[in-house]
This record gives sequence, C-alpha cells and structure tokens, in this order.
Amino acid sequence: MEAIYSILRAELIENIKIEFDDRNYTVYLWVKSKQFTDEIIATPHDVKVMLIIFGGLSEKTALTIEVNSDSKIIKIISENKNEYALLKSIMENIWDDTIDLLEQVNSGILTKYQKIKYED
Amino acid sequence: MNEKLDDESNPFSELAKQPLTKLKDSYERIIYDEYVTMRDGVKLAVTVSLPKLDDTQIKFPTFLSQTRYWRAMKLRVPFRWLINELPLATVVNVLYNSHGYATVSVDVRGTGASFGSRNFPFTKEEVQDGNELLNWIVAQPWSNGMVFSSGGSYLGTAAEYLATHNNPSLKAIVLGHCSWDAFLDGAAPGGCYNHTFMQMWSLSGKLQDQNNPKMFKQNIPSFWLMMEGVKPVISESNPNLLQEAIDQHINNQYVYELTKDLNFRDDKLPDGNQVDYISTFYHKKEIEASKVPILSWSSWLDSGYGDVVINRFLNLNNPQIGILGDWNHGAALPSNQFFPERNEIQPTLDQLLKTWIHFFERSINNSQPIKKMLYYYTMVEEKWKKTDTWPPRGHQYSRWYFSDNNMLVDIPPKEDAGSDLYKVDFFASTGKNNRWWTLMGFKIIYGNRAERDLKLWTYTSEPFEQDVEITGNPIISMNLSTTHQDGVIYTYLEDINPEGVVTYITDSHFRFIHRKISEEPPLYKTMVPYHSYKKKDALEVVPNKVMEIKYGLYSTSVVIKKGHRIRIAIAGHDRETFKKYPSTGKPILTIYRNSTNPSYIDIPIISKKDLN
Repeated sequence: MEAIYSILRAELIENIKIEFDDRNYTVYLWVKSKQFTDEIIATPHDVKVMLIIFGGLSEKTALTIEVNSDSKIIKIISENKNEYALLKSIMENIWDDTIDLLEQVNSGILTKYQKIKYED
Repeated sequence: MNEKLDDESNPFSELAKQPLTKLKDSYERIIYDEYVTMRDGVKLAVTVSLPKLDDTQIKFPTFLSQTRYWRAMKLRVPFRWLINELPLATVVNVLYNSHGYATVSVDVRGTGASFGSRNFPFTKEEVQDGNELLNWIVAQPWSNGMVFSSGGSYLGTAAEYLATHNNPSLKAIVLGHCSWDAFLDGAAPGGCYNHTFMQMWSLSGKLQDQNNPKMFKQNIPSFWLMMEGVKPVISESNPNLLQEAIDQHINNQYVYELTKDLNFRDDKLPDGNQVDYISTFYHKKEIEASKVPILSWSSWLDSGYGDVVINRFLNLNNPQIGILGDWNHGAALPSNQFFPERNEIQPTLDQLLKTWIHFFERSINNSQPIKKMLYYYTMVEEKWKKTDTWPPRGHQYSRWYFSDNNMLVDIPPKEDAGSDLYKVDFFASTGKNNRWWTLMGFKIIYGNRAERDLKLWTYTSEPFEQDVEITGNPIISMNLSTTHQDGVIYTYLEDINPEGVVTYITDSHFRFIHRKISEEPPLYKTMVPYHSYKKKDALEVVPNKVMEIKYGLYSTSVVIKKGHRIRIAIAGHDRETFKKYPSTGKPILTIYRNSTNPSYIDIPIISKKDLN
C-alpha cells in the first residue's frame, strides 16, 4: 500500500496542475491525466467535497466552481481576498495533504481524519 | 499426523513453494463494466479486468467474486482522474492479471449497480445467478473455460454456493472467514440474538444499496476517503441507469428487521424457508457432488468462523485444506491477544493471494493432488502446525471443577453442599472490539480483563507446573438455577500470567431454553454437544430449579505457560453485543459445585505423551 501511495502522490503532482491568479482570487486546476476518459470531469460539488475532505475547507465557504470538461480545466473563484488567501494556502499543499491523510488513516492514526466535517 | 512447521514456515510459504508463472512485470490491463442479463431479465453489474497482451488469442482462467459490498467503487476526485479502482482492488486485480487470470467482479442482485431486489441474503434467485455467471464467463472470448472463486465473508459464502451447482467450469474455491451455519455462526450464536452485528450489518447494507458510502466513514476510513459510491456501468443511451438500479433496491428487506425476534432455528424467513436454507451446510450433498477442491481459512478469534473451518473439515469430503490463524475478520489486522503490541499482519495480502493462485493451479494439476490437511496456529507457542485429522492426535480432555473460594481444581467435589450466587450484571461487556464486532472489520482487543472480571463470577486455577497446549473446543457443564424464566450464561476462558495480567483465550454463551441435548442425528458433525435450537426442543426455565447446561466454547489453540493460571469467568450478559435475556428483571444465578450437582469445564489438551 505504501508504494501505491507514493505513486499516487507523484501522479497527482504530475497530472493535476494548479495555477493561481491572485488578481482575480482564482485557482485553476488542469487535469492532464490521459487515463481519465469520462465525459464529465467532475461536478462543482465533487470539487468542493475534495476541498472539504482533503483541504479542511469549511462547507460554508462561498466559492464559485466552474468545470469545463472539454478543456479539463476547473476554475475555483473566491469571493474576497481573505477567503482567497485561505483557498490558496489549501491548494498549495493539497496533494501532499491528501496522501498524508491517506497514509495516516492507513496506519490507524485518525486525529486529522476525525476532524473532517463532511457527511455523505 | 500432527506436525510442527519449521520456525520460518507457515501454511502460506508451504502451500506456495513453487515460483508462479508471471506474464510480465509491468503491463496494461483492460478494464470494462457491463450489465449481464439474468434469466428473469434482472441485469447484474459486472467489472471485468484482463491482462492486455500482444497475443490476443491467449485465453485466461477467471477469478470470479460476487459481492453485496460494491464490486467496484466510483472514486472521489482527485483519485478518479488518475486511477480506475481503489488501491486494494488494484493490488488484487493486478496480481491475478499478472499471473494470467482474468477477474470478474459482480454486484449480486439488489445491490451495488445491479438491478433487482432481495428479501434476504443468498436467496434462491441470487444463488442461481451464480450458475448463470459461470456459464456467461466461459462463453466469453477471453475465457479458457476454467473459473475459480474466492473471497472473504459474504464473498466466501457466495463462492461456496457456486459449488452447489455442479457446474464443470468451477475448478476450485477459497472460502475466507465465512459462515457455514447462518443461525449459529451469525444470527443467534448459542441461541442468543446477535443484536448489534445484525443491526449494524443491516444498516450498512441499506446505505450501500442506496449508494451512500457513509458506513465506511467509521468502519473503513481509507475507503471512505477515496470513494463516493458504487462504480456505475456507463451507458451512452441512458445516463440514469445507475439511479434506475438503485430505485429497485427500495424493495430490499434487511436481516435485522426479519430476524430481530428470532428465537429458534426453525423460525421462518419471509419466503417460508428456514434460516438453515441459507446455510451452506444445508447444501452439503450438492457441494460434495461437485468434488470442487476447497481451501477454507479463518481465525480462532473471528466470531464463530474458526469453528466453521473445523466443521467443513469434519463434514465435507471434497479435497480440502483448512487454515486457522490469529488475526481479525478478513485477516486485515493482527489479533493475537497475547501480543497486543503487534501491528503487522502475517500473512500479507500478497502472500494470501499467491497462496490462492497456487491452490487454484494445484486443483487443475493432477501431479500434486490436494490432500486433506488442516493448518493451525498455536498462540503463545507461536508456531504453525498441521494435521490430517481433527481433533489432532494426542487430543484429550482435562476436567477442571468449580470449587469453593473461586477456585478451579482438578479433583471432583466431595461435599453434598456447595454453590455460589451471582447477581447478573447487565453492564458487563466485552466492549466493541470483541470476536463479534470484528465482523464489521474491527481489530479484536479484549485487553487485560482483570478489571472487567470484577463484574463477573470467576474460578481460577493454581499456577500450572508445566507448559500445556490447549487445542480444540472446551466444553462447559454447569448445574445452575436462575430466579427468572429466561437467561443466558456467558463463559470466558482466560490466562493469568504471574504478574496478574488476564488474557482472553476463548468464550461462548448459551441461552437456557435450548439446553436439551438432542438425541436426533445432528445436522452436521460437530465437536461440541448438539442442541437442535428448534422450538419443539425448547425447555421451560423454572425459577430456582436446577438445570444442567452443557455447551461448547469456540475452538482455540494456545499454550498455557508454566506458572500461569487459567480462569473461567462467568457473566449473564454482554451489553454491547447481544440481546438481553430476560428482557426485564435482575436475575440471580446459583452455580452449583457439589458432589450431586458439580460444574466443570473439559479442556482439550494435546498430550505430549500420546504424541510420542
């Protein structure tokens, strides 16, 4: 399992590019993976759930999420400077945080996991 | 023969000695989902994973798994942008594919992305689907006509049911941690309703059938993090297929609602059948007629599923290998109570899967016929052993009597009088990490029971003068009375080291109304006293009248070290696990321990003298 997590971390970093547009309080996700062939890349809800579970974003945080499945580009737009700063800090480390959380949980360390505020 | 394996050996290394043929170290796989239509029009969701080879004419044997827990998962983002499956499924499928096996995973009817509905598990329709799936697989262009099936828990039982069809394409089955007698192994062990498990299992099944991953959040966090639901079968013409399938699951019924008032083995299910019909022992003749080789494996500590391996070994004449270890349900976590600090599980998933592949290959290779053999792990001695007979040679019972001053002694009582009063403590509990909760995947942790024993009534031996191996089912015989008209006795066998640490070995419990030792031929051969659990054999419990109660504890294999003591701890309830009997009142039990009405435990030991 450890080997798989290591591969996953590298794949996330390589295949999902993150770019920041500080002026417009916007984060861009560009899914470059060739293995993903579904017509719809994600729903805005899918993206928000990812931010809540792996980034610790509050469910109440107002964001505009635009998904373009043709270009495989996702725009996440914050409403103001403060919320953008929070979003940016989440996105700067999100793939490391994602895999770290998986590895922790797999080792039975649930401290961070138990703080996740999301219910299916 | 009884034989100890070498220090470095275990059944997995012994059964998988030869290197396996591998197609390639690294290659692509072909994965696709489709619906397979059954005889009554119900569509089952199927995921196929094949080795992708340059030579497209090569045909593969197939590993089939039928599940009610989702055949494959739709991953959350970002994972589904990168991979098709959960890492666990990837490990399994990659390994099988790399050794030249196709894999086919199926959502059974009424579950996952499949259509249909179900009244209870393993209905006639669901079992018949298995036969149709075997026929569908061998008709596929990539199939070489041979199918194997393995799985744990529900998937294991589904694999065992495949053998009832006598379908020539089924070549071998590997049955992990699964039931044999649905009444005693799951629903009502000792005739007491397994309240918590049945309720949790029903709730989690209901959530899954409605495509809600919530049940994994608490039980399997790593699954919950990665997935959002069952993997759909994509149809360009109908994007709502998954929802249409899920809508049909609304008609499902769940075992808790159907069985929460279960008292007797012959109580009826909604279709008029008894619980026995969904027990694989009931289909013994068909399973034997198939002659399908069986590898059956479990743990001493997993619910009643350790005894299942022994029961199959005693009752089925199929070529068979049994394995009994010291891990939790599904062998995901170590659970040897004498080494609670252990974190790593032996065998690894890789070892398990390779052992299963070896078993499949031996089952179709006449040069290495499968001989009946049972491998078992003796805790504290920390050694694997094997035997071709059960109980193992040297097995004999050593009788220990309940005595005054809470002592357990090896001489019968001489006095006419002698009894102890125990006021049932309905707060007594083994907690949420016991042999029953592990059915939901939890680690088994009984811990140091010294404090818990304060709520129980105990009998403790003098320190042992030499090491003694206990292997088999201890049998308890008690003369007791109660102040009420119903009740249950719980018996724990424990080890106490010189420092006073109390370690759980095994246990069982028994509802008084079922105490009649039946004179009818047993439903199957067993190592413990036979009670029918049928309504006609129920005996009235008359307050304050002495009853003789004799029943088996779950099998185990352990060494009691020189200087350690053994303890019998007695309770009247296990609060967080079983239904309460009687439902009201505060019963007081009288445990008799005199020459007229003795109480004792027969402990199965392996006599070194007899072995030599």
